[in-house]
Amino acid sequence: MKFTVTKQALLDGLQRIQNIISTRVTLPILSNLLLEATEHGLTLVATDREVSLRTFVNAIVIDKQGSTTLPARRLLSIIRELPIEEISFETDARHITSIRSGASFFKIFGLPKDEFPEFPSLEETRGFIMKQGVLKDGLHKTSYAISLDASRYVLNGILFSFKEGSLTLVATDGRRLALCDAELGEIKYPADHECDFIVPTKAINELERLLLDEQEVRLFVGDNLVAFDLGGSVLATKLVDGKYPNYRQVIPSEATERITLEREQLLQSVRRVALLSNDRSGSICFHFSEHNLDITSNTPEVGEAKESLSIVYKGPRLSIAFNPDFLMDPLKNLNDDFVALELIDEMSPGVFKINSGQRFLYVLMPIRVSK
Amino acid sequence: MGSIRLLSDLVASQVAAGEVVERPASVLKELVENSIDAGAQRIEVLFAQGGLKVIRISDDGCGMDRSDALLSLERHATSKIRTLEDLSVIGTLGFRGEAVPSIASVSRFRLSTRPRTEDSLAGTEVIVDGGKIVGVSDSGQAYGTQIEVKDLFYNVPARRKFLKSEKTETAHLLEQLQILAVAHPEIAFTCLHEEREVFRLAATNSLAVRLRDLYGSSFLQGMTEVQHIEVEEINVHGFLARPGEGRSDRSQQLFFINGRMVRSPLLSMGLREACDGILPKGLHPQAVLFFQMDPAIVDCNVHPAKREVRFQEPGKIKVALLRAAQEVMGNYARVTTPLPLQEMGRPYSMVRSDAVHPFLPVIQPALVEDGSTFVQEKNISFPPETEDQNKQPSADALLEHQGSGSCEPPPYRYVGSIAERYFVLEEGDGFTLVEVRAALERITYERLKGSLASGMLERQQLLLSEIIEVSASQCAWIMAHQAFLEKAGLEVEAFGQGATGHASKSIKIDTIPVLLKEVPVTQLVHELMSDIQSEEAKTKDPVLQGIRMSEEALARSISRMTAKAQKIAYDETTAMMLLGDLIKCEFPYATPSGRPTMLQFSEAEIEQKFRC
Repeated sequence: MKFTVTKQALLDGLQRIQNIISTRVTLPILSNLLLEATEHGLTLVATDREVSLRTFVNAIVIDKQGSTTLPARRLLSIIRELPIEEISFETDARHITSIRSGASFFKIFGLPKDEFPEFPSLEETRGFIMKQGVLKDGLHKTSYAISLDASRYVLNGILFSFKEGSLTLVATDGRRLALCDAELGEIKYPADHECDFIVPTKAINELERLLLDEQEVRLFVGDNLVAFDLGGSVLATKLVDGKYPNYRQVIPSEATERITLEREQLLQSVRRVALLSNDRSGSICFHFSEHNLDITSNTPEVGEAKESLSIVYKGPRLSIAFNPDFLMDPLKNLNDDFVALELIDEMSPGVFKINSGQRFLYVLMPIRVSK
Repeated sequence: MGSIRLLSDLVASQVAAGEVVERPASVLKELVENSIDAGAQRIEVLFAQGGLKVIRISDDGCGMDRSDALLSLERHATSKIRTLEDLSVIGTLGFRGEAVPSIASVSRFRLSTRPRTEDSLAGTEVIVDGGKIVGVSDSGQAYGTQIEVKDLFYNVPARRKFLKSEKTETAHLLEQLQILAVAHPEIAFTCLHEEREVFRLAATNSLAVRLRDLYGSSFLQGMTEVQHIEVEEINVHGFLARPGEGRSDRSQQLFFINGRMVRSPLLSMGLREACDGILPKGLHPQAVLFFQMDPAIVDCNVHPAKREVRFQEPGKIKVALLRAAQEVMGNYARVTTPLPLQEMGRPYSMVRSDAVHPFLPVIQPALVEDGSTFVQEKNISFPPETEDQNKQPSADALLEHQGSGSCEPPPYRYVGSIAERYFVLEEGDGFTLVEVRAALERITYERLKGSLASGMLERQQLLLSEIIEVSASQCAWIMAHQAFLEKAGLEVEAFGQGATGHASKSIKIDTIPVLLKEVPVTQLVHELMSDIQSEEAKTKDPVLQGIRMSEEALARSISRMTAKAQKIAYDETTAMMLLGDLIKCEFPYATPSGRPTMLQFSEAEIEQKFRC
């Protein structure tokens, strides 16, 4: 294999791919990435056997087609340091790769391709197509609610639910739940394509990094596999095996109070009040009274904080405590100017909604301060 | 036939001597105790060659007339008890009437005494040799009694062989005398060894002064006073190590019951238990504790040398001890926090094994006038709240805590962190290593104890209830502890059969403690369960269960898990905050389970290590 690339193109490719490689690899080959030079150009592949990413790099010239695998992190650090724009690679039969760039010369021992796990094949059972920006937005509005508790593995990802012509994304960690409809717009899919699947957290994180705005993304959904074709890159991931909990039953069907709040203002207030919530563990309290919302917190032996917001509220006095981090998460990740908070009483979940046409729900369980 | 014979008095005495007179120190103990029982104000002890050559005890007690003096040499002759009933209410140190004749039977013995009566014009001198009276005569002397024991065991060569070196026996003699002197500060003691004065202790009514005189003021600096705590008709007073202080052995624990030094596993283990959560495992607090109780409830007629006692109600004694320790340590901390670290007494790491052993005999005159005036511990008042079973800090205590003193930033400079586990902080003359998780555990534990007491542990309601599978027995345990777990913020419900196993059960969890939101719920339930179960197994004693509430086990368990799960930034701000929080704790030096939270290294210590 022999080819020449620009430093920038290769670096971009390596950076897209580097997160896939696990820091704790079980097989040495998994810390390598696969380089394949074909007539179309150069592709880089990395995998941790759960999530795989293949990305395309424009080469200046392919002198000789072929493939090899090279240690990914080392390669990245070398390329980053090279002073000259043009870099040429040449791999011999013993998988020793020479890298030349101006006066610099490196020789790296690689491993043959045979041991490298094969990139999952995309059986086109079900295909969906949508704007990358739409998916990115949907993931952004839900991914913070993913559970990190490995023992509840079905919650370690986002539920993709293709139903009735729309796509609903759901994430929950058992304490709060974020749900968002991705706007497919004109794009339709046949009814027999309806399906539910759970995309694991790592793939979600990579997607959020990789997704752009304008281009399209194609989804290919297999039985235990999904692939996202982003054009220049393809991300394939195993699905989380298991049944997602019935999230619909925890969404309150109606509320007694609906309060519209300025998102940015609320976020700032919560952030300030949270400074005096009981360390990382504590809660902050919302006290609603006529046209006023007091947000308070206190830590014994340290002090207390209070912020008052004037709001439109005519209901009865109501106090409800929440985890401030859980409050801030959606407020940080939404971009609407206003959010609506729907409440029933101090024991029932509160629900954040947005007023734009898109369906977004954030269900949050309150904290019970005393019995 | 005729092979069973009554032993002659002499043989019987020597047999008894084998029990009572084990070594020269036992002679000293028996004789000095007699002097104390005789109401002496002043006791002088002289010995030479480890007590084998001579032990001489002189007192200014009540003395004896001639007939008493002779009778005292008969076996089982005593002035201290008369009837069997007296035996159950012994108020004196001796009572068997065995010691003097036993000693006399194994030595060359001289007793000279003069009673404090107006008609006694002269004293009596009795000379005994190997148990046989060889001379009785008048003697001119002061009031009181003087006993001289020479050539101990001269007629029991076997026993003599088993004695240790002269030095060891000297050490035993001194230790014995020191113990007696601690027990009786009101008596002046003089000790002479081979013509040289070892110590001369003035009579005092303060135990503190006596301890200072004997062991030096540094010993007292690590101690805090226990001021007459009355629990269940048992009065406890004395000195106890400050929180965080301890030694790796129990040699520095002296327990006196009604003025008699006893060795009691019950007491030493009870004390260790009382220090659980305050003192790292494997360390024992120094203690000089006096228990006063109705003689009727303690049987001291168990051991010939009366070193062991039996309690009618061991539970009572243990409770008294626990209560005393808890009150002392709790109050001590409450009054003195927040204090800069240095003033709180040295953390245990500074207690080096090679440090001067305060209970080992001091062979130089202890009357060192170093010019330093002795400052007694700050007086601490102990509310007599014996009824109050609840030893958790009350709201009042918390207020008091808040009001006490300013929170000056500690004089520490952040140096860095090691291995995402320790903070390194430089202080005045050395550095301190803080084990982050341990420190967090201590801090969380103390906060938690307060919240648990007021029943206010914040709980996060779950949007999706967690269903976890447990065994049938675990399910039964959980259901039995439902209310208890709810206190911790864990609301559980039985949820029928388990999904997989036939015998397994499901439980449904609706809320979790906010503190533990990072911990997987299944793990949380199982760890909590095993922690509390093992704690319950430890405390079988129902009396103790009342005091050592299982809430404490709960607090320990939760704080341990929280500390493990909490995310920490290893930077200066966090380090200083952590240290500030830690110092505010009642017992900053160890986790509730006894792991150290910080280690201090003094410059001198480091220098020592670099010396060749």
